[in-house]
Amino acid sequence: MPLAQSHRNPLAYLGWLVIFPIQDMGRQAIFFGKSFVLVFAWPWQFGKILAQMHFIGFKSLLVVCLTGAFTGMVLGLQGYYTLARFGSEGILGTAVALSLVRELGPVLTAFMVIARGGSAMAAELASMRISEQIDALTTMDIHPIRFLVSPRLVAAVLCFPLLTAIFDFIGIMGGYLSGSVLLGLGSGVYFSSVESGVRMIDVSGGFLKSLVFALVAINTCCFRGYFAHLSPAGFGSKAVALATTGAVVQSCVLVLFADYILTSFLL
Amino acid sequence: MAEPFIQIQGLQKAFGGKNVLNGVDLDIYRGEITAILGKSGEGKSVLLKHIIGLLRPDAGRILVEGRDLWASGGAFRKEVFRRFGYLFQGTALFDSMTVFENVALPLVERSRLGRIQVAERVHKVLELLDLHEVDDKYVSQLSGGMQKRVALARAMVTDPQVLLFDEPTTGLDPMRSAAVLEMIAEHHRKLGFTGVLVSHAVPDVLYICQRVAFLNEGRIIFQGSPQQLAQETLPGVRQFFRTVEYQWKNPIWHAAPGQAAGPELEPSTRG
Repeated sequence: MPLAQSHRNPLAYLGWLVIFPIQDMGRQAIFFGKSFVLVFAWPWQFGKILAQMHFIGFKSLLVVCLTGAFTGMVLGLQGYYTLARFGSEGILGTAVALSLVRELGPVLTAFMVIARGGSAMAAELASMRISEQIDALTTMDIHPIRFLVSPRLVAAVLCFPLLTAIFDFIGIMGGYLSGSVLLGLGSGVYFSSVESGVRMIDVSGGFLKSLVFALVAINTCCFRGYFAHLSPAGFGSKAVALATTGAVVQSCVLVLFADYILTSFLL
Repeated sequence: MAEPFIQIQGLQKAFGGKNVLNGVDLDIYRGEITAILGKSGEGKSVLLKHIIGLLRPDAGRILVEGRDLWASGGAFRKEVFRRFGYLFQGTALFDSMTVFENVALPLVERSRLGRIQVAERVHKVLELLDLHEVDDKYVSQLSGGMQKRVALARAMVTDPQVLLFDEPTTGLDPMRSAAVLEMIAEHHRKLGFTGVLVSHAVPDVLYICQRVAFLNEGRIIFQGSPQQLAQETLPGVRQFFRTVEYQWKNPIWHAAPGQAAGPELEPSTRG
């Protein structure tokens, strides 16, 4: 029952409040299943995947580098002064690197890509939906999810770990800049601490997180845009705006939720 | 009479508790253009979307060559999508693509044609529709009339057996509107496709169609030839045509004293 009608009857509204999120979750799960399976449908869409890699990966590079650099520098500053209280500033490299590789790298990279690319995807698909472009694909016997969503999903899975690696590297160098160059910790101490503190399982755990975040974030953003017309709170251009906002908020929350679940298994 | 190509039987559809289609029965014959007339908001576009399978009926059946569109599986609906072309009321062109990319898309995605063959087919259909030197332009750089023609080119580029037109002349000036209808009629003569046309361009549309269906309050209250429609005495049909006739004879511009306000409605041989 649509929201407008259910509002007239409080009992119906209560029912709607329960049923709509369950329907929405089910729809999102089916959407993910379809977009994943259609990745393997012949012929493969190399051209579209490359175009999306350029959009998600290359065009996010600057913002990821900037975020990584400042995050690493802040961690270096905060870590140095905190550790110096206990005379442990020698483990600054370990503290910065582990924070970045295990947590901040995958999470902040996902946030940056969601903010830059995910919101754009949601807005594009939503405006295609309300102007019947998605229906037009269907009438041409072109599967809209295969055409629009699957290449984005593959591109995100390929780009997120690479961007995370770049974020981690720049962040560690940012920590070196603030901890060693500005505050005087020996560079040998910093880098040997990085090397001794970070294990392979920390790195692979971080990459596993980035892969999961890629699927969660891009699927959520595409889903919100693709089904913008089902939004209970708005139609037309308002539906586009709501889809974009919903995509960013929901995918960020889901990334943090997935982060907690993964961390609890990885530790 | 031959077996209908498409049969719509007892079609019902409601949106948000409001009935739009209340048991539509309609037969569409092979090789004919069927015009669906009716007031705005009567559900003509909804009916057209049911015919191609974009919307699923709440009740009733749509039979294509005797096979139920929704009971014959997804493969049959895919086949229908391949054999049908659809011109959307709002064009539904891809605004992030150029004109060439828009028209070429169904060929690139569905056919095994090479680049050169695709380009030849696209340029041929663009020429036919009088669209010159617009290949590299984006949709937003075109006028409304040109956008309609590009959408028509995209619908026609795969040579579909059935073409569904959702108000192909809306938003066009009278000359362009007549030209588009003439073009549809000309291509129909050449290619012999089956057409279903939703339009408000009365009486022009009556000159190019072989059958007319009149949708009123969610039901088809008349179907027959344009000549039979002219003799029809049903209140809903007569009321619609009286309004059209009145507007034609009493246009909002004022005729000079002693001059006729508008031409009489006479069937012509056009189309």
